[in-house]
Amino acid sequence: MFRDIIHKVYQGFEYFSEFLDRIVLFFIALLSVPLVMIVLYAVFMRYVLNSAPTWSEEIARYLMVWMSLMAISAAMRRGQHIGLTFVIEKTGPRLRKFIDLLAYALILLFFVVLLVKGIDMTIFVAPQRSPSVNIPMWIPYLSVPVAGFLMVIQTLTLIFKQFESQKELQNP
Amino acid sequence: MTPILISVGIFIFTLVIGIPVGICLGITGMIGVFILGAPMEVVAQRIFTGLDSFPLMCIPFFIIAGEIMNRAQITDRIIVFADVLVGRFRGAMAQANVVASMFFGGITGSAAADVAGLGSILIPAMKRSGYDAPFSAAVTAASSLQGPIIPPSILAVIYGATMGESIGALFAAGIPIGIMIGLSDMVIVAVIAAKRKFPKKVVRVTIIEFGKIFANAFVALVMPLIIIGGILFGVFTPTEAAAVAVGYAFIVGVFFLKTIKIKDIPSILVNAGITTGVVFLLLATARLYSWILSTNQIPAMISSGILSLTSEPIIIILLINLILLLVGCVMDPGAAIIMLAPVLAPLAISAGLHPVQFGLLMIVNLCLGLITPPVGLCLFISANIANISIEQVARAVMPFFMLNIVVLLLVSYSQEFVLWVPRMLGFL
Repeated sequence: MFRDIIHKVYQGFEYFSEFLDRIVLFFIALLSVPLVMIVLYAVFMRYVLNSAPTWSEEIARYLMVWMSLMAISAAMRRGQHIGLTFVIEKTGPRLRKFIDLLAYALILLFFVVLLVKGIDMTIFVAPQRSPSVNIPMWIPYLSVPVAGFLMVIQTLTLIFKQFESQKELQNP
Repeated sequence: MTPILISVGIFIFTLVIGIPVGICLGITGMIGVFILGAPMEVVAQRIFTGLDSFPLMCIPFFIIAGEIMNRAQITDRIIVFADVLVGRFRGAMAQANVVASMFFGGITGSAAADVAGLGSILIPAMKRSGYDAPFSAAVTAASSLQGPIIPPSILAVIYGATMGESIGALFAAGIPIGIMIGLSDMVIVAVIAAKRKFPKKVVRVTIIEFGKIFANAFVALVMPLIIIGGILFGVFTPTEAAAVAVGYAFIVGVFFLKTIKIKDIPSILVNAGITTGVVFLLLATARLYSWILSTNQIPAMISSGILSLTSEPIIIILLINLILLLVGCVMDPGAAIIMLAPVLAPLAISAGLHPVQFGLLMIVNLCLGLITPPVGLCLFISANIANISIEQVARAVMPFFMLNIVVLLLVSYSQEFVLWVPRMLGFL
């Protein structure tokens, strides 16, 4: 009964995180194009038309922050963030399970803080406007809680996956 | 003493239980903010401001440009060209591997891209030609260190952005040092080839054939010239030069070589974006961690600790090298630069190093960590491609490592050697 619930929850998270991942990949590609174009456009304007745009650097920076923060979760899903594994590889299966769950719990804590405090931060800067383009500052800052949220979902999915594999371990 | 114990202790604990380095730095930074009693919003704010930087934009651009060039099958052309240049020597394929890495270093800014790009072609090819797997993997791993030293270099961008040094000067200084690393690898290959009597092969290339092969590789060889030249003549900032490199790679791949279709572009951008995500998580959280370190005045404690041991510049520089080599064994080079450059730079400069020289010293030291166990990323990738254990590659890579240490000493103690190119080009 309990295992069935875990299985259902895991499937739900897996489905949801895959869905989010697709959106993330779409955004990475979508934001990268104007990022490159804007910087090239600024070079072109400065040399050919002799009038460098004032807005290009700021917009490009915010696009880059959004793109790279969203990409962190795509990298997490694909196991691209490298860590030190040679110590835990030497532990037995039971201890290893425990250590892995502890690690995931700490990871989850960090991204929950990033999500919650990122929201506070975004609300705090909402009345401010960016120095050169004059867009509301919550637009760039919103990338932090969004990244936190994406990472929380990816981490929870990994945690439920742990429970899933534990089940397989008990009933081979 | 307590702040050091807490910030270093938690970091090591999280690292040992297998949490990705970028997140370890974040967790330690977060706990540090909590202990300081600062508002927790600082965590979110540091992550944002750590990434909101125009110079850092070089990094995604260089990654995209490298990804396009790699996908455009430029790698094969570079390998053919390298083979023509050094094919007449004993151990031709191994020598060509080193030379190809040198050229590849000019289009990519990271060692991992170099190992993965060249290794996937060269390691199987070397094995087929009768080279043993550990040697093939070791040559590939060792020579890939030229990638982050020869410009463009992601690590140079990180150091320049962290310390406010000229990225152009760091790039220029990287040219002779990267080439020295490559030459030292070639010496080791030559010695091993002579000892194990690798076959010589007869290469006869007519001038016309050579011209053709050179022209084929030329599109790749020109890229570092655009980047360095553009920055040098004040045409571009490094970030603009990197964007131009993307534009150049795009035109070469899509219109000139026609090896890339427009429909390949989204997947190139997604791959490059994910690599950027890995680097930027490290950058953002390393900034947070480094803020905690400096708020607790740990840099000052460490430098006064070392100065209380000795005031002899030669010994101080040696100690700095040892610290960096050890850190490089377990840390990502980029994160280590952000954390340690502000800590060690004042000490290094008081010992007579130029800031640019210290930057290159850090880069070479930390890169050597990429080919040492237990977490040498390049060992890991090349062992994977060669289908052997990391221990086997680690043993085979030792001679290369030893001779690279000599280059490192040259960087540490000869300011003339490190700074002659940037001085000649007018960066300093």
